[in-house]
Amino acid sequence: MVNRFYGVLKLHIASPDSKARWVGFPWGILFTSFLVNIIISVMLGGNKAIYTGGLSSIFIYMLIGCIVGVNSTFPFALGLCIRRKDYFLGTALVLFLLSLGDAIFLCLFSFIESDLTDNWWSQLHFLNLPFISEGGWFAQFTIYFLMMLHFCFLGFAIASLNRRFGSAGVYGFSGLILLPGSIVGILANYYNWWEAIFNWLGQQGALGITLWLIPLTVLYAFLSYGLLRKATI
Amino acid sequence: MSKVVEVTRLSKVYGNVRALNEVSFSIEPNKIYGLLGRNGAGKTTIMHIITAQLFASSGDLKVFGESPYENDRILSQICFIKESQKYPDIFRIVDVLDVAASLYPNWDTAFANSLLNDFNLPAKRKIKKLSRGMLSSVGIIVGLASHAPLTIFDEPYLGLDAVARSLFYDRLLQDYSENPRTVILSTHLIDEVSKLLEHVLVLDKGELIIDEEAETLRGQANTIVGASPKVAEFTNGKKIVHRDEFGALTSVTLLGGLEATERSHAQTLGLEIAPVSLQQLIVQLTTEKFDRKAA
Amino acid sequence: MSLLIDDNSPIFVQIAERIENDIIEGVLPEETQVPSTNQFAVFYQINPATAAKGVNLLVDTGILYKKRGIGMFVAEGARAKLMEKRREQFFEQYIVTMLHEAEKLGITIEQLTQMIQKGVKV
Repeated sequence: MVNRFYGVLKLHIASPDSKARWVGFPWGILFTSFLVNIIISVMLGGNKAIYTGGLSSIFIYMLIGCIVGVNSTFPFALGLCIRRKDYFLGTALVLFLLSLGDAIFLCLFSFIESDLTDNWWSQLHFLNLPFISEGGWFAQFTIYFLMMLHFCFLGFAIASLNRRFGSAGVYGFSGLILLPGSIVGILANYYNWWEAIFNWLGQQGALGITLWLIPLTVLYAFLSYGLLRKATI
Repeated sequence: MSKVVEVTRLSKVYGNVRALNEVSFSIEPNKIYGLLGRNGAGKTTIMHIITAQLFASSGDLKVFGESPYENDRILSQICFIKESQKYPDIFRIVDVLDVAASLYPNWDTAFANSLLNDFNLPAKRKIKKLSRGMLSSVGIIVGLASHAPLTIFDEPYLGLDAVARSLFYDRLLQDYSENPRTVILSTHLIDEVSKLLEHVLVLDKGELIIDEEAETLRGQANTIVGASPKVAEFTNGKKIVHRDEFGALTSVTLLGGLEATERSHAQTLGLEIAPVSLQQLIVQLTTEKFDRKAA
Repeated sequence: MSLLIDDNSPIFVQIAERIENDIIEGVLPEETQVPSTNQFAVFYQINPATAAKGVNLLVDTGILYKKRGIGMFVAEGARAKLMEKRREQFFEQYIVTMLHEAEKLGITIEQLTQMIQKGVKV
């Protein structure tokens, strides 16, 4: 039985520009955000601790990279008579490895931030945000990893939705999510559920919350596979 | 001899449009087939279905004896080169060939490289910077070097000039002679490829109207030209597929071979007999104004 | 003679005729090897099966024979056989046609013979 799995891996990383899409852009935006933050924190004098949301940039860019990456490689793969199953597994593996690598490097920089440079000598908390770095290194790594994996597979699912139903499908599905979402939001406001929600979240801790991402990520994976199975050229 | 492709009563319906209507045929190993017909006849649809990139509405499909959907054993033996193939925009030519090499078990790198040379392609150039002709050449190289037991070319030469097309036919024939495989060529340029074909399948408006050996088809039509009354007399009772009238002359295309006696009869009537090329025959059979009724 | 294959007769027949012409004109002497069917196919850009059909036609009529593992060769006496066949064809193609045409134009047999003599002198 010919295993064309390796071909799918090659598909994602063959071109030199692939490295840009998967590694260059996300880390580039993170670094840019970091630079901006550091300049500001230095200018502010470094007396008070500064927490920023710049970390989110890398996750957003990975999400975008996955949507674009899957959207452009799937038709090509299908054209080369690759099984949808092989494409799914190969892509999932690439995303898994990328998330792993990203998490390791994020931990590394986080270590540099907290232990080596005393918050970049200016009280800037870029990577070590309070709830993320509470539970020790293993917890922190897991949080980074699961979050990255979550966004990657979310991107995978969105792209799969596009391949299966076209842009109409993506818009339609978003509407489907937003509508009940807004209704729940309105009800939460009306019945004052927010306090209870936040208490519960606080009890879970960052790691606890992040562990909830696992079933969500698995859901995205199942969705992607199911959608791709019926996708056509 | 087991069939490479077996299509039984295949239909593809989009709303109330029948892109394919109960099409049945089979493809035998190691022959060069022509899949011909006008735009929208259903050729691309059926090729996509055969390669599991599109799903049929009804009917049965077997490739190498099995259903090709999600079947790696079968899919790894098929190479489908189409004019509409989208490559990832960040890929270069070498990347496309690299990926193809890791996917096709019989890939011939030396052949691919010599073809790169023949077609004058800049290996490191990005796909999105290629001209239409160069893009087609890339597809042709993948199709030829794949050595896939079933290789399908769908209008592979968009943008290629006559010299490059001739090069394609040369390399195809040479490689086919040395390493036989089943080839399906789908095209509008019927006359150019007609000599390469061993068997011809013609689709018209979703239906299969011709399924014949190319050689048989070539002898099957003749054009009779002459004075209108004489032509009418000669063609009485014969199957006419096309008629043209200009002034006092009529030109009629007949389906069916002509015996020697018929030929001399035509000669005595002062009529001219001309052979009909495959392209003319197919064009005439698939044109709206073709008169199915006999003279 | 044009090197192009045309639509006037089946391709395999044209291939056979080309080989026959080469034999008659001495380009392919007896006992020499004929190009392989693949070579014919590539040269004329035709399907190898069609080329093979043309070659086999000549094998059937005894013009060519096959040496196992080596290829196709021109048979002994092939040229003589072909000349004979061409003479018969000459009669049908030229003589019979000429007579028909002559009759149409009202030329008598004697006038015809005179014309032939005239042609010889030219």
